[in-house]
Amino acid sequence: MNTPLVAKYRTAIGVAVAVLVVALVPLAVDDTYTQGLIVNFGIDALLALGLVLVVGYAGQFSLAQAAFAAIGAYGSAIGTVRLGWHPLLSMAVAAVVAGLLVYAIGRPILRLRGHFLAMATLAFGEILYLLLTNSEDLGGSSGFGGIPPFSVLGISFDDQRSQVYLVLVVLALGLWFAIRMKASREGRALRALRINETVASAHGVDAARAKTKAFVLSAVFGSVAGSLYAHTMMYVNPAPFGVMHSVEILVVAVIGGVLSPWGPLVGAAVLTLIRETSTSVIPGVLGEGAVGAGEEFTVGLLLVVVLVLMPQGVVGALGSLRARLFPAKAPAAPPEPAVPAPAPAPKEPGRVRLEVTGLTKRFGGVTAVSDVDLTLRDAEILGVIGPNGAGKSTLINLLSGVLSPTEGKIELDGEDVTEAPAHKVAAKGLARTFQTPVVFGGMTVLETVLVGTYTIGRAGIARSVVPTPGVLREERALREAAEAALARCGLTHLADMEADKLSLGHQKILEIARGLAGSPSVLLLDEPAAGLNRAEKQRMTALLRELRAEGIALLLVEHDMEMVMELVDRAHVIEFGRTLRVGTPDEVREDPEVIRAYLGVDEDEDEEGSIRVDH
Amino acid sequence: MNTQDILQVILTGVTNGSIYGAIGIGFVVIHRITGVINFGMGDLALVGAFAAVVFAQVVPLWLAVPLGILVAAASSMLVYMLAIRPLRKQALLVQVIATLGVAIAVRSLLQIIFGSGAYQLQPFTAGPAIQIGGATIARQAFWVVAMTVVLVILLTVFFEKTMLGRAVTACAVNPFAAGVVGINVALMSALSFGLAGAAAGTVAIAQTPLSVITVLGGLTLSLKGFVAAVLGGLDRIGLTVVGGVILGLIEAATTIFAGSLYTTLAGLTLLLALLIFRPAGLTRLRVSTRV
Repeated sequence: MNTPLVAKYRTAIGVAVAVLVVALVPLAVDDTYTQGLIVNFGIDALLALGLVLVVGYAGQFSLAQAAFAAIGAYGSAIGTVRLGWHPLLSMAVAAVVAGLLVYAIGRPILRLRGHFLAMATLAFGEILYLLLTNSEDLGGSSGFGGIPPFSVLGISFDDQRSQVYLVLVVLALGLWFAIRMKASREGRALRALRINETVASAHGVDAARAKTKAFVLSAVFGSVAGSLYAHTMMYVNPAPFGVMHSVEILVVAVIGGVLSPWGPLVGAAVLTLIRETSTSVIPGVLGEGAVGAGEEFTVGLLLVVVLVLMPQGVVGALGSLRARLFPAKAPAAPPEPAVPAPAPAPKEPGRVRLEVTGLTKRFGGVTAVSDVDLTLRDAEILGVIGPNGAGKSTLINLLSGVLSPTEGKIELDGEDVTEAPAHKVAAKGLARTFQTPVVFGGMTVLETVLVGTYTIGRAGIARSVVPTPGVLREERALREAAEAALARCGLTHLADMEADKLSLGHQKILEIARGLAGSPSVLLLDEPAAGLNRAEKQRMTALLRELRAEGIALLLVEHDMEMVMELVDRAHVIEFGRTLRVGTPDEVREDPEVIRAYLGVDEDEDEEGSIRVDH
Repeated sequence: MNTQDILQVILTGVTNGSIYGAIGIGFVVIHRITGVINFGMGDLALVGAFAAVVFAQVVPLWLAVPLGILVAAASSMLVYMLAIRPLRKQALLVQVIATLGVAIAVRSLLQIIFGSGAYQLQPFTAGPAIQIGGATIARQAFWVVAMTVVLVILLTVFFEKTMLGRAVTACAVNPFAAGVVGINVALMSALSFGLAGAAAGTVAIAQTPLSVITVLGGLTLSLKGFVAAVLGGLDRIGLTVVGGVILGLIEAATTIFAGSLYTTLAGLTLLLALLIFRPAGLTRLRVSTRV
């Protein structure tokens, strides 16, 4: 993704190659054995593609991919054989059932921390398997047959060659979906989420909801793959849908690489190869009886070895190899900022944006923030200062909804947001930065800032996959907003760099650009100047002045007293979580209490709890 | 429903529940210290049981049992060294997936060596089953329950009273700070895997004379142990065993009153329901993020 033009070009080439492969491979292959292999490869790849949406995009893993396939396969079988429905209708109904079931399971479980989804899906898969095996209506463990070939628009896929076409076409569509999704607004949100949930939420992403969407999509992919399986086999039984197959699908996804939609293709090819090799090699080595166990052993071992040696999978490893062989061109030297523009005339502080009363946060027995009142107006900079551990970062976390207060009230634009979670607070126009810059590895600077535009876009996954004019227009608007945010922070020349390759100074500015991208009315800055050199600090100061002049309400937590006193309209001093003094910089500077508290009367306190004053 | 049935449910339930509880302890110990959910827990316990079966062919039973426990502990530690430790810089997700690979590799390796047949050990103490109010309980069941109780006591004392145990707990609370004060976090993690293997292996061995073991039982053991661990909030050793006994009682009741077809189904449904409705299990821990 060097420039948008090349990226567009590359996708076009990829699609052209895919179409050629889909069109030519079935013609070239004549024997039914190989055709069967291709069909199985396509179904496995489709299943793994669904899993990639969960593992690679949402950072969770599921062991029910084969169970979803079972829902599709049995759904299609019951629909066409028992109910006499059209194959397409049966497939659609099965996919909807799978999606709804998964929503009911995923919505509560994806709120949990940790990896409970894996165990829950494992249990789900086992339950379904047991039910199918013991269901006399559905033929128990021997299943039932008589499933007609798939047909759509009068075309019947009744010979094996046409089935190869069918599977490859559906696979290509799935691939298209996954690629589009990765670059879409929701896809970016999911990828950000995978790397840092707190930061993604602070930009308006509802984590549990986004993950549930990805999980539901994976079930739909699985169900469709299962339907195709039923129509190509013309027969269903529970055996192929056991837990082991779900694990194999996970292996396919991991081998190929879970971060790329192309991974499953590579992985499925490798798995096909392993199956073929083990059926021909293992009987000679371990005896006829050990084929199953030998294959499973290979699969298990491969999973561990691939994770240890190349956790990004084959496609990821190829990507890093390419990056090493053809390093990205160093970005052109930054255009030297002209003489810093004269600071625009400061506007008078306007209406109240943020109104906080009696805010208190206790962690167990520790009171981090105690009874803080605070008002923040448009076009003003409020400095929050205090010794280390005074509760400044906790305050920002409370205001942005990352933490919920023990007592007190927070109003944003007159609306009570005391109990609102971070993503809702962000949607109401409050943005924040983080003390330690959180950049999303694997994303460019521009993509990172695009995550910040989440709150101003609306397109969901399904809509962003189909490039309607409305969606394209929205994506263009988001891109323009992101580019504008980059430009105003002076980062335009770095737009295509990998964000995690930036210097600390640039990452800190990138944090602000990402915060600005969603056009917030309130911006909370957590130590934006920490670790910056003098020139960078000056640039930061100028930027914050400009933002104030534009009318944004800014809350600045900062340890550099010189910068704070120069910038802020009012300073709010806290110590041990309590408000010590609120006033203009001059008032605060001369307040004896403040001087005692941390400009340091005795040396010891100065060492421990004071603020660095740059001279 | 009569008293004899109810008594039988209690006896069978407590015995099986102890086994699930011990596997659950394995999950809890590893999860507390490393955050990893070890899918291979049941299979590692079986490695100990199979090792004890092999040792019993050449040495007396009283020696074969501790040797089997040692093998379970050692293989669990080995798994940490080979599969988890190299992934320490990766996301937790990657480590959890790796344990799944380990589970499958271990299971299929056992299958290649031992085949799919059933294996058994001699009971620790010979003698006919004991009749209590019309219900029957094998003598070996007392061993299973007793060893589980001893395990809970030993582990609780270890974590709360000994220096080493506190060091392990420190890693659980804050690995970074633990490292700063000179605790070898990697060693403590390896130790937690070893302890988990030993705990799960001990009771798996104790139950081998009671019912047969097969190589394919590992996954079921893992799932049931996980139910116990979830009931214990993936944190409390004592509550985990209580959770195991609850599952054991539910299963035993299902078997007697609804038929064995539904036994496994009941356990799995309980697991799914717990994760959906009550992920903190019997504890009051906060496992859900803010919504």
